[in-house]
Amino acid sequence: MRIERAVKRRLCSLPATVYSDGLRTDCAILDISERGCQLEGDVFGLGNEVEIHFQDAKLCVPGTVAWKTYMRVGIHFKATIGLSEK
Amino acid sequence: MLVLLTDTSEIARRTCEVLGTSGAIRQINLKQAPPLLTDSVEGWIFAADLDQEGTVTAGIRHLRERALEQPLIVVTARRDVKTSARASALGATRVHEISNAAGLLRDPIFANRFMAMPSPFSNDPVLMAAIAGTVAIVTETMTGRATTSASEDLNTAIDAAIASLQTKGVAAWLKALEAVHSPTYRHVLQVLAFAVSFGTLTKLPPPLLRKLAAASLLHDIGKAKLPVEILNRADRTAPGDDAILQTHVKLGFEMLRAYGERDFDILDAVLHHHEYMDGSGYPHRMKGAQIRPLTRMLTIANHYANLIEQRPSRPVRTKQDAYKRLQAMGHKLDLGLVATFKGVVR
Ligand SMILES: [Fe+2]
Repeated sequence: MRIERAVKRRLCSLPATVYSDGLRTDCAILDISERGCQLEGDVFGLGNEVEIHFQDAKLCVPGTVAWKTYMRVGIHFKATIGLSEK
Repeated sequence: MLVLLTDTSEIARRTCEVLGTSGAIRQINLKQAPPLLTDSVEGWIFAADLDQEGTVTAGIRHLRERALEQPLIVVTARRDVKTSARASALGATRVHEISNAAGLLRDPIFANRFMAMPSPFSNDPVLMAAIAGTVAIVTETMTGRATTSASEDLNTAIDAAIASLQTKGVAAWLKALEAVHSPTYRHVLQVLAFAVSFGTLTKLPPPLLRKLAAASLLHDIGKAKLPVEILNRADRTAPGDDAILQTHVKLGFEMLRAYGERDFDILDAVLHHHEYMDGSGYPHRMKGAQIRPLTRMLTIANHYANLIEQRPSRPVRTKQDAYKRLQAMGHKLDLGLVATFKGVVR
């Protein structure tokens, strides 16, 4: 995934690392758009503010938690990102 | 029905304050002629100035209606020979000093009231059985019976509560709770209902959901050690009350540990259900990820229950209004969980 051109929300299954209150959580990106994403993993303990590292894109985006269930979390990015297929 | 015999004395006023206004207690003025009691009487409470001429005579006249199996609770200003003699002249089953309001409220006469709940608000036997089971647990924990998350009674009650909340919904449960008179007990049962629906909505695995339910039933157990006057004064807090009220989290934690509670999630939830994500809560000013997620859920359910509870000092709030106030707490709460909680309110 390269960050170039903005597209609508799309399904994917890429790894991401989330940092929140000094806590590190590895999870999977279920879908992503230019304004936010949905993650799956051990995300229940995340705080309100997060930073998401997309290893494949060498990108780090700050965001806030929009909703949360036991295994999934929705994140709003603080800035829009561009998405493109390789 | 309980009959409360009073006069205009200070002791009568304070007893009414402790017992609260409730449809289950019929207050009768001693000075008036004994009225015809049409409802079946379960017990009598006598709260009048025993030092005054004629109080005992008037009391005896009213108590002619009392059947042998009906207990008589006499509330006194102090415990001395003269007062005791007059209380036994009335035929007292038990005597309580008004200064020990907690002791008065823990008298079995009231505990039994909460157990034998009438069901005017629900004719659903499954729901009422589930509520009666949890009411019994709350009554027992608040009156000092050692209970942990391993107690069999507690788990039976929790299973019934979860099953009925998941099938009948929160609204039916809350409606049926209107039959519970004590605000402290009712609060615990509301928190349980919100927490269980919340846990269901967040897709908690069943073992965690049961932990959350147990924690909600036990979260304010420390309040059993606080003076009832302070608990009932939630609306017009006197200076110094807050500091005393805040001790309930540590008291509860210590009580549960002394009872042998082993479940760390539950101990943590009881100790930290007043912590805020921004570090402004008590007792340890914990922050963000330091607060465990189950505890954050309990905090949200607890706050929402407080926001929606009817108080004499303010107009009745709608569900939506209460939820807006919850959202307005912002970074004090877990924002993601508050957003998910919207599904409970709907
Ligand atoms: Fe509390």
